[in-house]
Amino acid sequence: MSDNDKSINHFLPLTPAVFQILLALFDGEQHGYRIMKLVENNSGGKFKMGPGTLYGTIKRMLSDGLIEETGERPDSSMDDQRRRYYRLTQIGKKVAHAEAERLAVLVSNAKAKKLLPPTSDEII
Amino acid sequence: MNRLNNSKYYVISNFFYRRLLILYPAAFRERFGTELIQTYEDLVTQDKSDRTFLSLLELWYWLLTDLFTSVVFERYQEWRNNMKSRWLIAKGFGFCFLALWFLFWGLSFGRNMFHLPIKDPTYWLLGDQFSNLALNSLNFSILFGPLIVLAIFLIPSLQINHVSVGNDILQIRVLRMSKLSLLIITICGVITVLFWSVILLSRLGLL
Repeated sequence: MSDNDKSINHFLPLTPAVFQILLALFDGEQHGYRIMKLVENNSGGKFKMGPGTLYGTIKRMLSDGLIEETGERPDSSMDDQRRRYYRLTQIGKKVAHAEAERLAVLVSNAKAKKLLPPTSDEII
Repeated sequence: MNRLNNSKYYVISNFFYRRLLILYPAAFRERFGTELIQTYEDLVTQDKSDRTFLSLLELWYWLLTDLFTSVVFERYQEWRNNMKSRWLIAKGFGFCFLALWFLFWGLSFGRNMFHLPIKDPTYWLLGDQFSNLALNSLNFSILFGPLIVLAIFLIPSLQINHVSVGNDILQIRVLRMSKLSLLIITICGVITVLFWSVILLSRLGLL
């Protein structure tokens, strides 16, 4: 196991809040409220984060180097200039990949135990 | 249901949310205060045309739950960070205390089981003319000592998160720690469980 793998595995398993935020930022930089709504939509409304939990988690992710604040501000005609935008760092992307792989192994084990129905691709 | 068109509710609501933010640690407030207010405003004004007094109350219930739990966690994090240098001193004391604890029990055990020609460690520690307070303090340290040492070594490695997955859940994670800390925590945990089990079983008359 390389040092890089070790540093990534150090973060695993991720808390649901951290993984959801990483997923929300995977398609590009977002501001806090947008992250909150994306997390809610991505989970079908099952996962809801309040402002305090969101910014508390963002604070820890910033200090862990999983995300970073972008220096750019949106045009005032497009959005509120006070908004801060966040994006994934390289290590954040790698950690998200590693967590997704970890969860995929768990899901495949669950399928092998017939805890989950097979997907349509697997039936064919 | 009547739509909430009266802006005074929004003004009052906004006023209280801003005031409640003072509960957060100053550093957190300075860094994220503006964003918290902005996100709150986004939440309140979304679907404003459909907003009723009841839905505003519902939103507030959710906001208050989130606010108070996150305030507790941020305060805890701040306290833990401020204690960083002091934890080292506390751990040093904890380690010495544990060593003394073992010495005391080692001597007691040796004296009672192997009839070693040594004085009772209670007298050895407190002298012949000990007061009730001194004896009670010694008893307290014998019973709770390992538990306190366990807390000293465990608390700096605890990370608490609050998340909502369907229902609100509290997630406590134990971060990586040194092997020595892990060993001390294990020893203290085993001692505490054994000690308190013996006391409980004795009290129940089962021993």
